[in-house]
Amino acid sequence: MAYLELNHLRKVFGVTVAVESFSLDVERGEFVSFLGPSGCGKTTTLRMIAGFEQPTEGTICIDGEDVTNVPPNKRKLGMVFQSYALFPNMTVADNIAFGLRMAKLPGHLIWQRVEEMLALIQMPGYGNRYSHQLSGGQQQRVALARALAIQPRVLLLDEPLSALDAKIRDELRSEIRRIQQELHITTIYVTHDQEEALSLSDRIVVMNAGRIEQVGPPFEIYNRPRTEFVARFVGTLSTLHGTAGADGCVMIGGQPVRLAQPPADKLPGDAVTIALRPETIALDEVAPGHNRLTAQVEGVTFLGAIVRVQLSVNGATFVADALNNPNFSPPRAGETVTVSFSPEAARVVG
Amino acid sequence: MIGKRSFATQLFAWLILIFCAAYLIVPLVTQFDYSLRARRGEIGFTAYANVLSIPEPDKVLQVQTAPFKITLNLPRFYSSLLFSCLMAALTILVSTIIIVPTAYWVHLRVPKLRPVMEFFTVLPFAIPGIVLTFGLLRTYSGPPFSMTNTELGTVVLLVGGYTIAVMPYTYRSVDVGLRAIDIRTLTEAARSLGAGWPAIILQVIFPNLRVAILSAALLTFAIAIGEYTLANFLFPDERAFGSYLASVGNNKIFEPAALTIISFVLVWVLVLLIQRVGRGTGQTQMTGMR
Repeated sequence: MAYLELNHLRKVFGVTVAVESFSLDVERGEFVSFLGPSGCGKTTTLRMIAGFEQPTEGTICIDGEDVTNVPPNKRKLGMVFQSYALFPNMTVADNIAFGLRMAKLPGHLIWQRVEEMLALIQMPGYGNRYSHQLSGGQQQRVALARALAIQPRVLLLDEPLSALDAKIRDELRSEIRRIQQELHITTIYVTHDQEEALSLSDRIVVMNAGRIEQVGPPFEIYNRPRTEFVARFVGTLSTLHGTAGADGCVMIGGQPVRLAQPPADKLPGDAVTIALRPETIALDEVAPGHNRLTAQVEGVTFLGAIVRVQLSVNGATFVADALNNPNFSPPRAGETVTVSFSPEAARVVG
Repeated sequence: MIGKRSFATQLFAWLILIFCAAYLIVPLVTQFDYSLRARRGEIGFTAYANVLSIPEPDKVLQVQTAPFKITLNLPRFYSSLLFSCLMAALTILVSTIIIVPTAYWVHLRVPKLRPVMEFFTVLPFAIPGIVLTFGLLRTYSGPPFSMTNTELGTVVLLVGGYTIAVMPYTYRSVDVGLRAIDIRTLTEAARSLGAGWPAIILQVIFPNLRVAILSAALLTFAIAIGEYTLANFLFPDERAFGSYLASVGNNKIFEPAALTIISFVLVWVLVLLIQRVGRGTGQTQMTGMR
């Protein structure tokens, strides 16, 4: 039996189905991210776990207890919000102590715990400050400490880094993972940022239009997407339109491309779409057994660590990423280059 | 060109400000000047002394301040002021207890009802005080309620009437306060931390609405202290300050002017006091634990 069980959750707002047939088992101490575009139902699912939304159908069990109809204040879950939601009338210490006071813990234990939490978020000495005296990153750390202070059964984070600037976001992301692993706390993290989900999670739940598209570890989600939506949403993806060849290969602009998994249900001449990740395309060398494509360089974008090259084959455009190498001059727009990729790198998506 | 326009705008703004200030200050100054001329050919505080001085023991009015049965030997100025202050305080308490949770609930759970609430809360502007008074008297002075038969019942009616009369100010003030904070997220944060509704309202919502509640309290106080219609019909013995002001105005010449200045100063002092107390309370709450 899993620690957190979501069984056939469904949520309907009026005539809109926000979440449909959502079932998921989360193990104790696991970090699971709900990833998807806006309106895909990830926050609604999180709010159902928190108790702020009542499921139209389905059940939620935590540690064997059915909490579907338990009010939020009795669920013993910690929640961190995008907008921090610190109580402006209270100091940092009072904010962290709030949940402990609600649990009617003795004063000395409350203050001991507050000190521990301040140390955990690396903000000792900030107890007497008010939220308006803190930066966004600091406020979110305090919100995290406040949620963790009550030793919740599950920690819920609703896009906690969205309101922060890039540098702070990166720092806090590492901080969240460190704390989660240190406390071994079961965590559900909602985000629309694939990088966040990929870097933080033990498993990712990719959602679209209220349904689960795929559940799996980040490596699997990125490298073996099961649907076109997952492939497109997670990472950068180029699609090339061609036709099915006679020997199981796909013809792209008159050039044959062999696939590890040829399109079984296509007859020769049928339209086929293949997908390629930019980083699987090599610009400078052709390994034995790899596909070759002669392509026209449309443009080159320097991204610092990466050089992104826009290519086209008979009007079909795609991109290739190469690591920046000071000894390697990237191609120029208008040049003709030969690129290569392994048969495993290309997947049929349509 | 821009500079000239900016100067003209500033000049216009200043003229408006000066006009408004004059509109408010000139009557007060003339009133004050008039109140100092109680004795022919002299400038002095005779009218003030007449209003404020404790009269001879046999002329002292005994007042039972309902509903607490406190017997005070005070001249009418002090007793009526005390009575009205008490009624104002009760009105602030009652309207805060009713309006804040109601407005909070509407914001949180049924935001679509906000326009309806706004409509109902401005009704007291449309209903004349005398209509409200007669409505209350007609409904509650006979069976089955008969509230005017007892001191306590009449006080309840008066405070109830004041609560309705100040509702437009109280509701609007609280509404603006609620719009300024993200109450939904704060409420959810508090609930996720184990707080029940009373704790959320008392420890999260009320403290964060302190300024709004204070503004509402100040307006309530200023209105209740000088209210005449309800007070005069419910307490015809001129127990309330508004009734006393009217009575002095009818029977004296210079004292009403002195009384106006005194009540003006008093209201301002009390307003400042409430503001000070409100700020102090907030600080205490915010530095709860170390």
